[in-house]
Amino acid sequence: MGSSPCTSMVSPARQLPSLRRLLTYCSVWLLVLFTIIAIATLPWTLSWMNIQQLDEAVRHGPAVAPVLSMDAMIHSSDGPPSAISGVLHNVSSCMGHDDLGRSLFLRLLPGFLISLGIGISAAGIAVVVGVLFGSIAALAGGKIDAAMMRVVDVLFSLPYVLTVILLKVALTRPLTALFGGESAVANLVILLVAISGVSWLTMARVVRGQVLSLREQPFVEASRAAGAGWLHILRRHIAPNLMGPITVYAALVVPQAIMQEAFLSFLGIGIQPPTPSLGRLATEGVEAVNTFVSYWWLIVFPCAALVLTLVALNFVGDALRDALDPKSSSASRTTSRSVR
Amino acid sequence: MLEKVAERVVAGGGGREAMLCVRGLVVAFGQVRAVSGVSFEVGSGETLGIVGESGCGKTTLARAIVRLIEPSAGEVFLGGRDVLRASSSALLELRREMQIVFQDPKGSLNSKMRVGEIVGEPLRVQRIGSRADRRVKVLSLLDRVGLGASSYDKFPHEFSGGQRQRIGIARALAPDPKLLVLDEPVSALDVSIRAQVLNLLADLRDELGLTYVFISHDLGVVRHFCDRVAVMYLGKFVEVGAAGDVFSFPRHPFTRGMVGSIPTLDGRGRGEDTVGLTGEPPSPIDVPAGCSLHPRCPVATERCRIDAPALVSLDGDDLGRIVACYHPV
Repeated sequence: MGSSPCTSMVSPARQLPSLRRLLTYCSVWLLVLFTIIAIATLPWTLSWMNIQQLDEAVRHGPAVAPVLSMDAMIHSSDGPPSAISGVLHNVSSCMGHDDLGRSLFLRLLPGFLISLGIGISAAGIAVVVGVLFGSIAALAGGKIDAAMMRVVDVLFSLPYVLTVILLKVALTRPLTALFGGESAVANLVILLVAISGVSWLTMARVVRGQVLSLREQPFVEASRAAGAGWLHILRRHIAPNLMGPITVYAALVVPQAIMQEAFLSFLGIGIQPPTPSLGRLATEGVEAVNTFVSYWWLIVFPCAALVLTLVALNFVGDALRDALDPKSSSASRTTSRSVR
Repeated sequence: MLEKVAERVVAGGGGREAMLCVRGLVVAFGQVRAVSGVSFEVGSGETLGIVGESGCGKTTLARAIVRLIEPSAGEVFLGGRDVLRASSSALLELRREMQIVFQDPKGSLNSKMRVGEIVGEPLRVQRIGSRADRRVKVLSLLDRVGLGASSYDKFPHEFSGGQRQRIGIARALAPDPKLLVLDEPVSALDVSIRAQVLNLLADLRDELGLTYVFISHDLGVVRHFCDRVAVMYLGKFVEVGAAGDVFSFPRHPFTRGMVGSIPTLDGRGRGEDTVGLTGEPPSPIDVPAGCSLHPRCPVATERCRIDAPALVSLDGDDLGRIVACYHPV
């Protein structure tokens, strides 16, 4: 490069704020994700029905509440049926119904939201617990650090499915009593505990490693040489540099947790019927497939929704890593792109 | 008693008031003694160069002087005040007067902070001035090191290596220090940029009357930049003297070997009679008994294997040269 040493040699891409960089890396998959979320929330945005009505339609179907067929719902809403409602009605018809006559489409929408909700809350729990645990271990150091990380090792080595089953056996009754007989809520809590109980372990390790390496960075030394206290160093140097790895890892925990929810629901120890989730719907689809009559739509559509969600979330997570990771944003990436 | 030591120390320093005084400094990491008993003084406004092979303890010494690592033994006085026994509030005040510039211009700047925040950090930590005052001060510092006011709101990655090192220098200058420890400040820079940064450091020294401890393995740079030079081998000083003298007439075998290894344009070694050193520096975990150089030294005798020589001034040398060798050349 022929520029003089006094002018900064920076390509414009490196000066972009990370949000815009994120959009350049994965705009398609963000669009897919937001589209799925927008479709899943359509019952509310189009004000088809209130929560109770939806709950009835999703959980019990026409056998219990015969009035609430898709037709009835669309026509019973306050305004005149819009074009979107018409299209959705057709989509719903094409996706078919399950063995109880419930609209698969109508069950997929909250099923997706429940799965996503579990994924996001598991990531949230993993972030809070993992960050606290990992950073305390790294900052305390010595024997405390060793003891805390052995706890993580032990939890890691527990057989996962067995632990979840034991948790379920042990916790279902007390939790159901705690939530006033709402076994669905109790199930959800157990599932969250089981999933986030595993994902915070990796987060704790990641955070501990990051804090340990950040603590020795020359810029932290410079800050100490200037007389900074540990609180200042934690707030101004360590926390801002932790944000990137934490965000990236949290974004990757969401699809992992959704996958685990699907896996556990598939085994029958996750979400309990009649509450829908992507994994639950796939299970019901598998149960409905037999050698004589194949209700293929019951397995194809939930699985397609699951795959699309996971792929989109994973791509967004990877793009977040590219956008936030200081290593990938360093000279090598930009030069390779400017050479192109 | 401490005051007495400090007084004696201030009185020393070859006529000039000693800005920095180090006595018997030892830094041990478990079995390894990275710095084992180093003593020296740096006069006010003086530049002391410290040279040595990699791994000889130069950087550890630098970090111990500004108390980034706690030495195992020894004393450090800055302007007569005890650095190592200072209470945390006294240390905070002492830190205004001694700052350090690091080798790695990339790692020493927090990539998430803007240049203005980075340079203003010592002021902020030391609670010097209001926010507006600090901004004015930072802008003048940036101007002083040759960076425009526009750099205030930029991030470190928008700058080249030389510019980043200028930012590091501006940060070190922020609390108006008297002593600057420069830990290989130009080693990571391109040769073309080294001269610019060295000139900047020299200008700052003259303008602000700074005292430098300049650590480097680049003998040419040290020779031209420093008043005095100390040669370090395996955690100890082996020869200390005026920079020109030490490089022109090295007395210690290690210094001779080191100076003789400087490549010259005509392909000959500097000084035809140089007896080179052989072998690798021994592991600091297992330092040889006696003079630690003896396994590699061409003039070593039985005495060198048993007794470690002390730094003493030599007969017929009134230039303040001290050498730790029984058989100086």
